Amino acid sequence: MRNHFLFLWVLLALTGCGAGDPAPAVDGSEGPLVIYPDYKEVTIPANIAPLNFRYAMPDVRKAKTTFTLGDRTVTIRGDEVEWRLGAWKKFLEGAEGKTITVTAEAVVEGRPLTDRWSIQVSEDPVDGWLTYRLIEPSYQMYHEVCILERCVENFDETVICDWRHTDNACMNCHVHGQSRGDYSLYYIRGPQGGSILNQDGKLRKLSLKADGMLSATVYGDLHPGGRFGVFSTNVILPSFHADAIARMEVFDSASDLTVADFENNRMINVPHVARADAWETFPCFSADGRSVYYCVADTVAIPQDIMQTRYDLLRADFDPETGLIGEQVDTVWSARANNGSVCHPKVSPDGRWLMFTVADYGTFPLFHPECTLYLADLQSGEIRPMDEIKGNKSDSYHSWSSNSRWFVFASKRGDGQYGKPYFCHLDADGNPTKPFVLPQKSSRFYLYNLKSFNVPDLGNASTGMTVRDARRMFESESEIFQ
Amino acid sequence: MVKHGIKSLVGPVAAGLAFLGSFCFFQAAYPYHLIRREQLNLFLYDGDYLAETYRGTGWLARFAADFLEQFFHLPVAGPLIVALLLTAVGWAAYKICRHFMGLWPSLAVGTLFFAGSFLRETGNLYQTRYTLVVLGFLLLILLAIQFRKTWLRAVAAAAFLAAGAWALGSPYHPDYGKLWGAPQLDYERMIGLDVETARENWDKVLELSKKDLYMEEASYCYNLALAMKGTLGDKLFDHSQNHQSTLLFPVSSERAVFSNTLAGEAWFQLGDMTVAEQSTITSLQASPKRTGARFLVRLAKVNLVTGEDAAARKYLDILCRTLFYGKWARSVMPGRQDEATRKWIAESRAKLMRTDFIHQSDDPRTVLQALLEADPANALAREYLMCYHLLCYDLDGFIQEYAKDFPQGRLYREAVLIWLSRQERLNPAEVGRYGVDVSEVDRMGRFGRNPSAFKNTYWYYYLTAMQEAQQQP
Repeated sequence: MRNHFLFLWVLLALTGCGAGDPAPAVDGSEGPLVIYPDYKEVTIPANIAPLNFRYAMPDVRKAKTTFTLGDRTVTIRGDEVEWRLGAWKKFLEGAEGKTITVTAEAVVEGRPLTDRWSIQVSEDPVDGWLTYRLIEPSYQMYHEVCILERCVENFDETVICDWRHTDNACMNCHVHGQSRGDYSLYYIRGPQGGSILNQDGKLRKLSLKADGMLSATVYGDLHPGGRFGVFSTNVILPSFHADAIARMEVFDSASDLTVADFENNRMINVPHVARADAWETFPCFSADGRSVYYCVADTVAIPQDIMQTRYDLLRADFDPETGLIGEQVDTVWSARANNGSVCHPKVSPDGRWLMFTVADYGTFPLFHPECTLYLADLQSGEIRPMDEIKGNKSDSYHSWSSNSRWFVFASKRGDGQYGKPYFCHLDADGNPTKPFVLPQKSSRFYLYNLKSFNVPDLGNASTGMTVRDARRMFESESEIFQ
Repeated sequence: MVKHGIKSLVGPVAAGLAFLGSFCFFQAAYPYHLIRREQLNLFLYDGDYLAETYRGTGWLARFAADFLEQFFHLPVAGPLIVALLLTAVGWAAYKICRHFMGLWPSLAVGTLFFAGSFLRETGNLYQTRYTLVVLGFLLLILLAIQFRKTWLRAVAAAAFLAAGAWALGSPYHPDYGKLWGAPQLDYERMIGLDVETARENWDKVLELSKKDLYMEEASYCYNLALAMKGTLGDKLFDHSQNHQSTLLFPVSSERAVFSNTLAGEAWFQLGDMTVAEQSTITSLQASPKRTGARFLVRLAKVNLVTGEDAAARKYLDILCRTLFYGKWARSVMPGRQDEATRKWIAESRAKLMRTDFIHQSDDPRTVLQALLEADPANALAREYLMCYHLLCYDLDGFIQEYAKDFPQGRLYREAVLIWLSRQERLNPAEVGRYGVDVSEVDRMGRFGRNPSAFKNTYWYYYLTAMQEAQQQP
């Protein structure tokens, strides 16, 4: 593509208006040579796309980066270290369990510098597909929204649903059931909208709203058996913080849980998870489908007491025959005892781990720098904050790889404004490695990107959905749920 | 011979007239139209950015248009470039026609192309790209008909059109490249208000808003300009105020994009950086190309003030790679700031609210009070708060602020007299105690005898509201 621009480069050169010597834009790695994205001392899956980066320092010259893996050596010259896909794949062939050593040298502002770091290649592959919504970090309005699916093994990106094919409707994030590519759901909002359910490649447009529900369904999860989905229904209010760094707060003025029976097209509403004196939200199934985890808080006066809103994490039985959530609940994590508030619980597909986000208060941690990912070992009952991977800004909306050894989460670390997907490996004992950001073809991608990666969700196969499917669904009638 | 000489001049003269006419129109009567187009544009001198941004169908037209639009930042350059493009469209159409028809029919066709393109250019959201596409296709046709052999001409035309379709794309877009446009001078004034408000040219804002003060947006900008010049307390009622609705705008999904863009201007000056930032992001989100140098400048400033240096650096590094904002961006980059920038940041940071609470930007009173609590020297917040009280007929709230140090402002003195009157304390001693000259009481008396001669007073505003309240069942 760049060849097409040859004569345009000449034109630009004639204008004599180059970029000058801009300073590094982002907080990069540590070490003598600062790189961005920070891929130093990370653990990666062997099937990941090339880790392209640049030296994020002013006036970098004569940069030379050498990657060594056993007897293989690849040297890339220049301050932008960008691999050809084929060369990267060949370099990583059989690299599982091995260590890549990177040596770098460059002249920075006239001073010669050297650096050295390693990259551990995990034996565990990560699921190859990641879906996300790209949006500006605005929570007041929507405009030209799209949901995309990225193959993390290369740089291919497919639009699943976009504004062009839905008459500029709003759409909400795509979630996989148990990380399966052929089992997922996303929403198209508005009068012609609905919940688009993908089951074994067959698409259905559902109207998941029955009489007495607060709203159509919002957050949720799909049952491993394929018959049910558990959802929250929320009345959501966006607001501003007076403290400029805290930016936005989004909270519910009401929320309940509900279960959708996809076989009989009915909503199963039970009063003990739709209490007037409590806000229930963020439900998810256990890996065996016999429990539902969800968050619940006592109602407070809003917006004035929003900073007193704290959500507990509860577990209740789920009957896969009837779709009923049990009345008996266990408190997994007490907001009162721990002085925090839980969001987004998700159980690993192998059933071993439960990960959730804890913030000081509320139900929208996207601008809470204190918010931290917690890991509960469902075998031992141990729960701990994963402080070792915490960024300086919000970490939230995690998603598991189908082998339960990788998870991805949205982090605003660095600029604090734009969420980016970070990958993290978890060993058999629940020890995480240093997270790394989703690689991009251009090492400058994150420099220019002005969109947030919203709700990144991993799938073990492509959903196979396209914008044409989205249009077909958009134009079709919704199946009514009673 | 002479006749032939005159005929040969017809084309150039027509082109010259077309160029002059369109240049004068965009320079004198429609200047903000093109400036705003530049504000919503971003052209970066970076290989990766260009390769990623300008690909797919129409890449050349988008690239060329964005490249040209950056120069609209300069005075005269925008009208000059657009006039040249429009003239070139007319000229190319004329030259094509001359291969097939006589002078005058060709001139008529050329004129039609020029006029059509000119009118399209005046469309509200029109982008230069679409004029370039028309010009590009005409030039390709012109090139194709240079071939002498008919079959070669046909082949060349097909090949060029295919190449044009790939590199130039469509000459039409339902929003940004409509087939038809017409100058809207009132809309031009509104765009001008927005541009000049962002540039903080307050005298120009006052001048531009005068014709349209019946419109919410113009009234809002006029009030902001008055406040920035420190005369809101004297001149708030120089035009009719629709209660408090045009003093400060909220940022909300229920309001128009233009209103949301303007809303951030006052909040930025006042010191509420959260609302200012959301206003900017909302504007960026709704802009035709989902970007805009103007918005990135504002986002950089907001984050410099709030101390979010990493975010500020992100925006500034993008701006560093532009032609016209690079110098400024480098001068304010964290770690490299000059004395003036550090001073501005320190002054702006002093205004930030110290206590945190949640709001929806639709109740300015709470925010203005918090701003004043954080920085009692925030004169703008003070003026806005007192005027907000006045517009809401909240005289007790007003007096609480006024009584702190009796700030200057004719309207404030008028409000004090009403408040004293309602307290049955309207006597020379009390009037003097609140810093009001006794002669104001005489003026109030004259108002009572002939209210309509005092339409720019708070007394008139207050009286009108009381009368309306009495008339309601």
